[in-house]
Amino acid sequence: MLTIQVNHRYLLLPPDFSLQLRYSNPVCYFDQVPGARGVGIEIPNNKPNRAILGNPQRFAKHSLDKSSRKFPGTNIRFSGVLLLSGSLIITSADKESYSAWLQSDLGVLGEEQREKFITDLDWPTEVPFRNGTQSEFNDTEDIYGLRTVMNRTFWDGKGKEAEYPETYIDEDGDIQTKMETQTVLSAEFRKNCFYTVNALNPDLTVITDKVGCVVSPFLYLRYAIKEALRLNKFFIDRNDMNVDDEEFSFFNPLKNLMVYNNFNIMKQILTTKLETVWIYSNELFMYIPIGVKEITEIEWDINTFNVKDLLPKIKLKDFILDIQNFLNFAFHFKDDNTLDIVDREKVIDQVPVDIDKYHVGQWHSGDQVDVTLKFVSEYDKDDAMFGDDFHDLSHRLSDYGDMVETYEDLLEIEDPKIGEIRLVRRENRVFEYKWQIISTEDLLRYEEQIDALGWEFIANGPQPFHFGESPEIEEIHTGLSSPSRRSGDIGFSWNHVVMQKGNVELSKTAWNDFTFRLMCYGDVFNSEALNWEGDAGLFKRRWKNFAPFWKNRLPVSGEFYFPVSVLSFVKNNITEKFATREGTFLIKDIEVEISLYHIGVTKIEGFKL
Amino acid sequence: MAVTLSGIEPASTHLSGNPILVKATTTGAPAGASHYKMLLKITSINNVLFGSPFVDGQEPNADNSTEFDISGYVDQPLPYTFSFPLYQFIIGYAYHIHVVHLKPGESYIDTAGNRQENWYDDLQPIIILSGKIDESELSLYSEQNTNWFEAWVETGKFLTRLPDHQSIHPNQPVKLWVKWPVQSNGVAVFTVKGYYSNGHFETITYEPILFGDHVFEINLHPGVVGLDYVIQDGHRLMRYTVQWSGGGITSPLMTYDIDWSPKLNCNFLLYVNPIGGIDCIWLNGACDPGFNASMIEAKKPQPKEPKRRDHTVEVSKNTRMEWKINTGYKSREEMEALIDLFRSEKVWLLHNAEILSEASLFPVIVKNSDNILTNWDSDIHDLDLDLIIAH
Repeated sequence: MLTIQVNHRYLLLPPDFSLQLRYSNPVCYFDQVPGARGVGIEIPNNKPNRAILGNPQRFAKHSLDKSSRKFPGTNIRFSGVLLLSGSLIITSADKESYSAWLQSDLGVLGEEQREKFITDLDWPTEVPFRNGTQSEFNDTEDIYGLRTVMNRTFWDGKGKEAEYPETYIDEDGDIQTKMETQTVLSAEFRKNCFYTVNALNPDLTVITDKVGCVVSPFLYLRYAIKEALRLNKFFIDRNDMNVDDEEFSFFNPLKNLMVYNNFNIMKQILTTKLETVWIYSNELFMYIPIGVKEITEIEWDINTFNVKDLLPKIKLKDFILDIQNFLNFAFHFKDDNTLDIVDREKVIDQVPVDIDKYHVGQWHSGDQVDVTLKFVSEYDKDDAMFGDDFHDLSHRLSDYGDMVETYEDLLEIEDPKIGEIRLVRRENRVFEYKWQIISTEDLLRYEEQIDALGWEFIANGPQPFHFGESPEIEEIHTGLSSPSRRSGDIGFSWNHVVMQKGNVELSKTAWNDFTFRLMCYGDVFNSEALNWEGDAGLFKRRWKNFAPFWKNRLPVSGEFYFPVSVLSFVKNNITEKFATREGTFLIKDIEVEISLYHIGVTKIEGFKL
Repeated sequence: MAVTLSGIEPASTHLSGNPILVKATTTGAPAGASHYKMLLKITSINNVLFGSPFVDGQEPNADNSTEFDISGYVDQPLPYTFSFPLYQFIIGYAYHIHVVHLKPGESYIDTAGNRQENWYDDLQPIIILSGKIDESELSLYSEQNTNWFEAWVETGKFLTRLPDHQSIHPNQPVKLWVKWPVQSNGVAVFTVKGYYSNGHFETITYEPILFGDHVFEINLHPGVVGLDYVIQDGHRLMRYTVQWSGGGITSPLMTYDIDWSPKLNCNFLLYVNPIGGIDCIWLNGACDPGFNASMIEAKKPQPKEPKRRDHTVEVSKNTRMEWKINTGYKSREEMEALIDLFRSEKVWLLHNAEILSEASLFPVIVKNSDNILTNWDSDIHDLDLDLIIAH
């Protein structure tokens, strides 16, 4: 028998009562994190129900008070089997009945977090900083890692400026010097740390005692996900992102993924003295003396940090969706405040669950989809490594030639076609072979222009990645990307490179936002692991099984007669692969009508595998 | 902290369609814990339950207890079968029942904000038969401070609600079903007595080992039991009785009266009854076979050179066999017991079963939805049954 309990109290339901339950598989959604719902709930207005839900008249009286219409702690069970838990939401009420729907716990979470950022959660504060060599940290035992990142503009706009000599090589190949204005802290950062965040001491620990040094612990993605969910009272059950047990996991780029930030946890202890300075007054048209506290000395100290300073300002829903659509995992939230993080790639090759004996009627097929998948990663517009030089070249897909590793490889291409464009992988920049106008100087230093054919830079990466040949485009969008990277000087070494103003404790009022970006150091041999392109790139590593299925998916629908325990199993394992004698399929949505004493036909829509 | 289970006995047997209530009691949530829930894990031991193990969780009431109803988890259709052709007096079925273990547990969020999950000792085994009795009968047991298991299984009753002294066909494949009441195996003694028209009787005994996790089918067809239909001087077998004992239990005596008079027809219905057995009744009234056809027509143009035999309307047909069979005259008690037939979701027809080896076996659905079973002013009753093949 069907029962609806609101905080341990049963609603009285009429013999002809029914409702519909809907469940969705997050594996098949890219634009939302779908939750289960119970709809079509009409609860009779009788004395016992009024005692639980209140008089219908009060809903009209307190129509603006949404909390009076919401009843958390509601469970729908059939013969004792939990089918949905969450909050009962009354949409309208009259003298005969209450109209309602049941919002799942995930839906409740979504509503609570809709206007909040993950940085608004109760993250740990005053976490002690532990220094060490990079290899001493890992995402199984630690919450952050220490890796080097080049960022020459971290201190821009912070502190007084001065002029410093900059050398350059002129057209004749001679070394010249010019004076450049930069902040004093930038100059010190360069001198002491070579513009490197988490710059290394000789013993490979991080420099923490030099003027201008920048120390940024980078939270491990594994920790950030687990903690963001835990702070919302959701706990991970199955986690396909944990690659601890995989053979060769050391080489797996998913290992030790880190969340980029531009926050310097070094604390500045300022010594000041009262000084008088003369400032021109536009009202009085004269210089007037102003008393200021001049900073005479800055001491640098490192002790503790607040985790939320190391996180991007992003909403929880976007945080989850971005990870899902970048790394190709699906977050499946269950009724008991637990969730599974499911690898979409593995789902394709799973052993299916056979539910043939419950299938009734015929399978119906829809129109097969034939699209080109366009993977769009947003880049950080405040990072000058991308800046204004990003242009979407999706309309020029047909002009692409094979990508090359370096600019030198580009120049070695024989007989390039005019209009051909190529990605230089290590720089993540796109060049076009085109008619250029080159300005040069003759011996008398008179400028002249010549027409030439050559490779010209036209756009930065990350460019959207396309998979398929169909003219119809289906976008898979993620706000997640990765900072640029540049090869190092030694062997296979490489570094992430940004050009972005940083944040420090003392300048939080002028916060420079940073977007959600991941850094990969898990595979020293594959620096492009978080780029879409390439044999070791993100698409080949994380989408090569799922993408071909998704771009040509065949919608199917069928009906099943499930006993309630089997329905419970299917909806709790909705991300699995299922099979009947006709073949295997992935579920997209489940809809079932349940009356007081019967479970109706369960309609399943999905995609044939 | 600990969570314990009560309200259900190990090795007890239950019907899956009625609430199977398990009380869980906790010593209390740890200090500072939030979102405390008591958990119950239901694990199928004989691997018959699809989707096992199941885990359910509920918050405790103010008295630190809660009640789980596990009936929904264990109420899955079983692969019912029965022996036909008949070949053996007693047959055991492991998959006519579910055997589950119940494990209590708890989950909560500790003071550090981490989810904790603890599990405690199993309560096992719990035996589940597929079946359901109505709420009035449940209420009666409750008022008498007993339950279905004590009333039926622990008293050794055969799993049937058909009345004693049924009138049966000589060749009727009468079946009775038995559930051994304890977990450990034991020897039962089945005694079948055949009574003849000259007062003579024959006694045949069987002493099988009964397993606690099986249900046993007893076939009482005289040919299987070993009773002769006719003995010296043409005296016929007029009735037989059956009783079993073992483990300190003696079952009620069941008696079957053989009706040798000629009848219009001979058909049998076998059906799963609400208490885990499969019953067999004799339909000896009129039998009118029929059919139910649905069709979809499609018109096509006449061919260029039409012939008289050409079809220009094509049909797609689906035809199902139907029968209208009269029960034959039955006593009030037999007729009222037929309510279980109308409740049953699994019914089979043995058609033209005068000679069992020539009978046809069909799965059928009983379409009757609204009938009067008996009249107050009559001693014998009959009813037309509308059957349709379940294909």
